[in-house]
Amino acid sequence: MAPKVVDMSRLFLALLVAVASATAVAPARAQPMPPAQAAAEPMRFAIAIKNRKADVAQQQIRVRQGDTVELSFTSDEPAELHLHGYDKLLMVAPDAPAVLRFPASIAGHFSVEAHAFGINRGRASGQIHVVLLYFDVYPR
Amino acid sequence: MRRLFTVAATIAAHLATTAAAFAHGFGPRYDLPIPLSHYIFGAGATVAVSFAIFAAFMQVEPATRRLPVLVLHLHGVPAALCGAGAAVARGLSVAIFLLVILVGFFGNQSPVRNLAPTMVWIIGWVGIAFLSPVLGNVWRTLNPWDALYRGAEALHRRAGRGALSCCWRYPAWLAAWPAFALFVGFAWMELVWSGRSVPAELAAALTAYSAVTWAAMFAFGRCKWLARGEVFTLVFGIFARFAPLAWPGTAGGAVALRLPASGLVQERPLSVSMVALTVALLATVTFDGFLETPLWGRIDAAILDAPPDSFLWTLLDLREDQALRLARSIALPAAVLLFIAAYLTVCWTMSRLSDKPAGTLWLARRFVLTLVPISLAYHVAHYLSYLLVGGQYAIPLLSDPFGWGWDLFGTAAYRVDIGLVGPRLQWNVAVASIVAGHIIAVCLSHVVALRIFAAPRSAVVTQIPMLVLMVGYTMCSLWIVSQPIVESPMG
Repeated sequence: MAPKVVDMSRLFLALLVAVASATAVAPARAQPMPPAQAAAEPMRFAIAIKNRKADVAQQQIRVRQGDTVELSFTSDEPAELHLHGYDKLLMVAPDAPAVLRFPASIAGHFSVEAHAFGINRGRASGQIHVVLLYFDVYPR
Repeated sequence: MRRLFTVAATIAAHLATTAAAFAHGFGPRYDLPIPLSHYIFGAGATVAVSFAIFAAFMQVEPATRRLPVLVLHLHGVPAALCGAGAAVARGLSVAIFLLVILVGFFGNQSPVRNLAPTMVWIIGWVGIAFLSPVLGNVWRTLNPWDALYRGAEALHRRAGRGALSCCWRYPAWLAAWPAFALFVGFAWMELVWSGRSVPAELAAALTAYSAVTWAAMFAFGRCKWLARGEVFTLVFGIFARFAPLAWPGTAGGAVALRLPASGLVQERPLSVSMVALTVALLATVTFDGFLETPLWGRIDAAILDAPPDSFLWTLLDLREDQALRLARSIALPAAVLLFIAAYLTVCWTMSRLSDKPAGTLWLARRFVLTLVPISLAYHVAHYLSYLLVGGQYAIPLLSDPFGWGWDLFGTAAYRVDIGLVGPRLQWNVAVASIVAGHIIAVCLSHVVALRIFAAPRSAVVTQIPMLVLMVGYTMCSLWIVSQPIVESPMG
């Protein structure tokens, strides 16, 4: 059988339409779900900063949009902490733990950084800054 | 109002202390990685659709038919409107260009209080790269270097002294290699350079690039340099070939409507230097994303954890941020070379499989534009929220470009809405654009094959290595958007 002759441009157009429709109806089902929150109870996280690092278990915090969140920080040295995106600043010191309580109203991937201390092992540290943890807010 | 302003100023001051955290070029990114379901859907669709297209094209005979183009001739009022619109756009572009240099040198040096970084990296680079594949070659109108040089040329002519150029012969062997070199340099500045978000250094870089551009235009002629060395003309020109609109003349005349992406199927093959530039474009956008993955984060961590007697600190005597930049400076050209090598390997394999005595470069020059939809797709997936969220910084900054507390248009207190592009929208757009870009690329490559190979069998068989390469590039894009963003400690 001889190969069928198809108008090239029509084929091209058909494929473009197929692409558009396939991608339009496509995605969005099973999202990874962070644990559901008990009504009105804030999601509490205790973050201990030691040697300029957060505990491994606390380096990735996940909540759902709309949750109330309470982050309590303790640190073995004084530091200024900044939650990006939400733009919250707070100070923490060995004798003064810091608590940040706020509604997680915006979904996204936000870092918590320490600004006041930088990695410095005797060498001038340049512009190095330290990300302590990522705070991920997933959409409902 | 007064109180609002104080609040905004306090926030800006806070941000100023944190500016070091900004990724690629400048500006924050808060994108969540695409979930596993999206990743699996994207990967599955990529593979399935590749086979479907492959099978569909096996049924098709080689065709030499041109793809449909509708040319609209503009006369009278529409032409005048087009001309006036272009003149206004060009005037604005030149004004913003000069303003950016001024605020860079003389304005507040905090990256978030100065207009220059936002204007250069977000609105200029990412913004025009988004516009070009939609509206066509807008850069030809907006290019401030071209506009200013043309102005100078017009004045020179009016004074009765011919062309503003000493008309040296442009060496043919140089081709578009100057643009390739400048582009790799530009990518380095965007991804590695410590001065990328420092307004004065950015202004100095713009000034230096202006000097190079105008000197070369004077040496070889304006049009010659635009076609060979002005890197943004060539890069945005590559993206603009995707657009459904083509503007043949510089001053109105006619506009051609065509199928999106059909401008990438060229009658004339590209030069080898343009092949390198096109692949470098794909390599650098991908590398940008790669730098934010946890995998690269581990490389950063390994460098910072290098023992005190490591050659980095002793022999090279680097600071920590310099050591991190050194690794990126090596990896960036390596990534470009790797992508070029992969592409050439595929072309070599194709030349082995073809019935024509077609060499590797002969094929490379004809197929390279079919990769453009993949880079565009990744560009959309990666930068959409960056443009729409980071770009909002321009709203307050246009009212206070120098960061001196002005409020020219009453927008200085505008707060950036970081929730504008929600995660679901961003995930869907990312996967949809990557899969769509892949499909278009595979189709284009088949169309090119049908055009240049006589036998249908040859056209189909040569597409196997190309398909493998495209699936590889696309999986690379998908993998990157499925990785959580890790901020560089280098600033």
